[in-house]
Amino acid sequence: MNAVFKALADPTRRRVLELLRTRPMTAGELAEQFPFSKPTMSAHFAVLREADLVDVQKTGKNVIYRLKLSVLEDALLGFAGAFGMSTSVQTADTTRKGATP
Amino acid sequence: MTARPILRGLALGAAMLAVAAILKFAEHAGFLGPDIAARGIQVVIGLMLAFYANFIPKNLPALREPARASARIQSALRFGGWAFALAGLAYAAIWAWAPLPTAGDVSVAVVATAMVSALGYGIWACRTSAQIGGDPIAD
Repeated sequence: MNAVFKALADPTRRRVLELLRTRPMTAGELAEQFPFSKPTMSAHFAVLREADLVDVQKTGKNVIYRLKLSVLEDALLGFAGAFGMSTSVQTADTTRKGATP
Repeated sequence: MTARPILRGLALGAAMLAVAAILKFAEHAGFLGPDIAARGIQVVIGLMLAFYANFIPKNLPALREPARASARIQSALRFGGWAFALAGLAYAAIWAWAPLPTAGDVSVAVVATAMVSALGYGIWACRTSAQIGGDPIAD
């Protein structure tokens, strides 16, 4: 459960989960939504994978991510968003590229 | 691989029977008031339903293309998980606090509502996902 709380503590990772609510997305599609470098996004994805919050499948050249939240984890994500833990992430101007999560 | 979930289910069933037996024994021995044993086992059943429903959205089927079809199926799993988890908690709460004559009917109605709505949503999701066409990955 610690891994889940660690994963949900970060607004970028919460935003990734919010994006995956709409549909499965490739790593590239997800990375496009953020002003961070690819290694930074990969590190975020690794944390989500470690917490078993996303499902990863390779199809050809694409790595496809799918949401894999239990009801409790879904509720925790909702609470994190509702109680002041915004899913808005830093913009490219305020974020140093390549910073690790 | 399949033996583990079966063994877990059997162990859970045995635990539920043991809880029921202990509650019944405690009632006969005068440790518990009347109806507490019946309520107790129903509360356990409700909590078990909520527990199992919690993991429904985690059991993802194989990825389907286009992505929108996969998204529909995933949303059906989420809907079903939430419906049964809330129904399980409601079931437990009803048996814990509602008057005994009405608890049976109301709790079954709650679970039946969850079942019908999850089934309806699931059928709709499967039908629409079968009709969806388009770009395989980023439609």
